[in-house]
Amino acid sequence: MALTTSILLTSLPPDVTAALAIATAPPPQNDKVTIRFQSIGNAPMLKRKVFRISSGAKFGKVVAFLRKQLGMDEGGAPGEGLWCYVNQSFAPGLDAEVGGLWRVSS
Amino acid sequence: MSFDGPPPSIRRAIWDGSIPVQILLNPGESRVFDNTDPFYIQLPRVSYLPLFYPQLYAFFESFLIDKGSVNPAEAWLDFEGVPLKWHWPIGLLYDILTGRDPSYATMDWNSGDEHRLPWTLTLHYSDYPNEHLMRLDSPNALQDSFVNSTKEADYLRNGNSRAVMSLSMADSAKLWESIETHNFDTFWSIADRLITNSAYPIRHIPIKVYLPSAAKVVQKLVPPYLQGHRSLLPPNPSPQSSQSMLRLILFNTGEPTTVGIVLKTMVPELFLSTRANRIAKPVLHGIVIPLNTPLVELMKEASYPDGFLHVAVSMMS
Repeated sequence: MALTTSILLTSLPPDVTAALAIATAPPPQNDKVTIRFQSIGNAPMLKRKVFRISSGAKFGKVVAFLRKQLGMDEGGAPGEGLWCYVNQSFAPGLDAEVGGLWRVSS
Repeated sequence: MSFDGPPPSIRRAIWDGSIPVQILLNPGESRVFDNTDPFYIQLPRVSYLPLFYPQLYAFFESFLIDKGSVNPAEAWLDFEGVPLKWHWPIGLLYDILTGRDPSYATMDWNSGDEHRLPWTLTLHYSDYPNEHLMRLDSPNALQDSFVNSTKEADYLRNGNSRAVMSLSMADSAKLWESIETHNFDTFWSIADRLITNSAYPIRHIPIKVYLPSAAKVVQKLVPPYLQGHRSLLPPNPSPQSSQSMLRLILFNTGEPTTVGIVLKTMVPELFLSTRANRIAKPVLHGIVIPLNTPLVELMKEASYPDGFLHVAVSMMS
């Protein structure tokens, strides 16, 4: 259900299509960012705090990973009983790309 | 029509911007298949879709095949098969999904132009696209998402989200109510304190650039002025020390970052020049913005209510 199916983009000149393909290409799998988890409030401490994750991953993946690390119900809704903030300032949308968040907050 | 009096402010014009929308019920969920009456509504560009879901349900309820099994909270909309992200402002969704130069939009139903208005969307109550959309599963989900976006914008402007966090309970509530009720005066009475009257020189401009095809979002730290600006800042500005003189000097140094400069930095493949559009155009509130526009001015006058400049890139054909 990507937008590429839309008629808008099928009629573009080849060079424009090529430029768009490069601009929207996902980052390579080995392009990773480092995340440090810090527990606040009643959140339990993690044994290991620093992890690396693909920069193209969505923030929802980080939250799901953290649920697993904390032994929380994986089937539960991502935000249920667990709140994650970037630099203790804001909670990004679960569909925000980790690489973009890293670029504006590290 | 009278043209007396001062022209409406840019803020007012943006707030009043709206899109005529036709909403169809997914034929598979209607007891009369595709004979369901369409619902017409003028949607404010700066608002959010879920605020209108109750109206849609009230209208379409009697058409549903099995009303009993439908959960109104499972509502979602699509445009040409693309699910609409409920946490993005309506104007941004229109600009990024319809894609081309907005100056060609037409009301002519007979024209072959895919931009013809009204914007036609399809409403669903089943098969929620979990892969593409965050769930709207709590009554406060939209408000939470909005508030977090205002905090993210605050974080970019100031390096922390204290301005938003230190709003009184009453003001925080009023800020959200102004979105729900689409009240310009209430909104700006609070937002001005966050966006324009920041206590310190702005560190970064809250901006997100949206690319068509994968609806890819590009984010980067964008300083409001080009050089030497941040190095003049005290390392830890505190509210106690008066920085007003310093601020005055800072605001007059350095060339302002322009739309063209930031696009060439963020999406160099599509913006080869900082001055001329050859492949793509930046669209904000349905308007192609000139590349030489200073971002700091744009931020003050043309931010979406969450404090971000949500810029859609439209491809030139």
